[in-house]
Amino acid sequence: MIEDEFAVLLMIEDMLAALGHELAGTASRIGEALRLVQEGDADVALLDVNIAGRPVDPVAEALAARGVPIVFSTGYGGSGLAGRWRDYPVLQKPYRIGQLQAALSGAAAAGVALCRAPVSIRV
Amino acid sequence: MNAGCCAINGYARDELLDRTIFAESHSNDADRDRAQFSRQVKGEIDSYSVEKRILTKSGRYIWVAIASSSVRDAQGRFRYGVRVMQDITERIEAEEKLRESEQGFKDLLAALPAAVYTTDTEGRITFYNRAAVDLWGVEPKLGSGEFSGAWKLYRPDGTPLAHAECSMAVAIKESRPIGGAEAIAERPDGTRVPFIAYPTPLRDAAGTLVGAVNMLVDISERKQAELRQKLMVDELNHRVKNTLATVQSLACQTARRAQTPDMFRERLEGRLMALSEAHDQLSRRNWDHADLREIADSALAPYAREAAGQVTVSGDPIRVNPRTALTFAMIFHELATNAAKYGALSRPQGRLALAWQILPQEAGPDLHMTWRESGGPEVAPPERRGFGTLLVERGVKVELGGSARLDFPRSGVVCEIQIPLMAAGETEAADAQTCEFL
Repeated sequence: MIEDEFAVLLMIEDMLAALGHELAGTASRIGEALRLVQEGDADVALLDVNIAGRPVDPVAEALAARGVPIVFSTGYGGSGLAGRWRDYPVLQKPYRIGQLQAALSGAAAAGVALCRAPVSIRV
Repeated sequence: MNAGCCAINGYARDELLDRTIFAESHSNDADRDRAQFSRQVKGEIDSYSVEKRILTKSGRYIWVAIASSSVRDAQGRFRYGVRVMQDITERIEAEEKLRESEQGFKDLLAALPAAVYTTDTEGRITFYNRAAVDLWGVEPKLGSGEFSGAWKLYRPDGTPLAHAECSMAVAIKESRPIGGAEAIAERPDGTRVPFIAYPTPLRDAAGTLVGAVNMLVDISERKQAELRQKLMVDELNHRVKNTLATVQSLACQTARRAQTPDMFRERLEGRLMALSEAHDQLSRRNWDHADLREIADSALAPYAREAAGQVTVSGDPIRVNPRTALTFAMIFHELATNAAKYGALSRPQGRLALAWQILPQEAGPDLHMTWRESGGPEVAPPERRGFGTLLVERGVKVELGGSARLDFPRSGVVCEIQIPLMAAGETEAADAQTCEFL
C-alpha cells in the first residue's frame, strides 16, 4: 500500500486486517515505494495517486512491469485517471470497506486472468 | 459657344471668344485636356472626354465634364472640334464626401480595439485593422488569404480547422450572419488565441452579396478564468474528499479505542476541533503556509489557560507548509490532551517546555523539536498504543519523512521530532517541507 496520509493509512490497515488480507508493506514516498516494489511479494497494490505532491506513476510503471495488479485511490473526483491508467480500477476517497474489498479482489482476479491468457493461446 | 456654356463659366461670349479652351483650366488638369486635344487634332482619335476644373468669372473652381468630338472635311482631316460641357461639380463633391465618409469609417474600424476585417465573396481579404493583425500575429496580404488572416485555425476541441470551413466562409457560402462561433487562432510564433467570430455578409444597394465583415473577439482572459475556476473547483473537491477521508479515519481510530460513547464523542470532537483550527490558520494564509508558533499556541490554548505559567514555548520563527502544519497541529493536540489528563498539565506544579530549533544538515536544514514534561505525576509507559502514540511514532515518517521518538521516563513524557525542512534525498521535492525562515 502506498499512502502518504497517516490517518488514512491507519484506516486502510484496519480495513485490510478486518478483510483478512496480509499487508506486504507500506510506503509513503516514491523512492520508498519503488524499493518496496523491488522486494515484490504483493498479489495486488493499492496506490494513492498523489504521493507527497508527486504523481505515483513511476511506482505504477514498476508494478505494471512486474505484472502486479493495481488499484488506485484518490481524493480527486471525476471520471477516473488519464492516460495509461485510464482503465485501471480507482477508489474515490472516502470509500467503504466493501468497496475496497471489491476493488482488490476484482483487480487480483483480472491479474490472474491476464497471467493465464498466454498459456491458453499456446494450447 | 452657346448660352449654356456661358452660364456655366459666368463669362459673356465676347469675353471668351479670343481665349483657348485651356485658358481657364486648373493647372493640374489642363495638360490632360491639352494632350488629348492635340491627338484629336492630329486625327489619332475621333473623340475624347475629360473631367477637369475650370475657373469661373466669379473666381471659383468648378468641375466640368467635356465631351470633345471631331468634325472632319471630305479628306478626313480635322476641321474643328465640337465640345459639350457639363457642370459636374455637385457630383464630384458628393463623390468626395462619400470618399471622406468611407475613409472616416475605415479610420474608425482601424482604431477599434476589436479585430475587424472584410473579404470579398471569394474570401480574399479586402480590409483588416490593427487589432486583427495583433490577434493573428501576422499581417495578411490584401487580396490574398482564405476567409481569415489567421496563420492556422483550430476548433475549440483543438482539432485543425480548414480556413475554407471557418465561420466566415460559412457566412459567405450560406449568405447569413453567424453569431458566436468559437475557434482558436495559432500565430506563427506558436501561441494560440481563443476567439469568438461574428461574420456578417455584406450586400450592395441591389442586395447582391459582395463579401462579408467579420469581428473577432479575443476570449483568452475568459478562457483562463474558466480554467482557473475549474482548477479551483477540482482542488476544492479534492480537499473536501481528502478531509472527509481524514475524518472517516479519525472516527474509526477514535471508535476503536473509546470505551464509552461519551469518551468517543469527546475525543473525536477534540481531534476535529484541532484539525479545524489548523485549517483556519492555513485559510488565513491562503493555504500557503502557517506559522509554527501559532499552530503550537492554538493547540495548547485550551490547556495553557487553565495552567497559566506552566507552559513555555520557544523556537525560531518558522513557516511550515500545510501538510506539516496539519500534522503538528494533530500531534500537539494529542500530546496536550494526554498531558492534561495524565501528565504535567494535570497538576499545578507540572511544567511543559516545547522548543524547536533549526539544525543544519548535509542535505539541508532539519527542524528539531522537543516536547518535555516535568513536575507531573510519575509516568509509566502506556500499556497499549493509542492514536496519538501511533501518530508520533509512525505518522511523522509517513506525513513528513522525518523521525520521532516518544519516551516515558518517570519524570515526564518526552517527545523528540526531527523533520527535513528542504527538498532533499528521499524527501519529495514538490511537497517538501518548504519552510521559509522569517
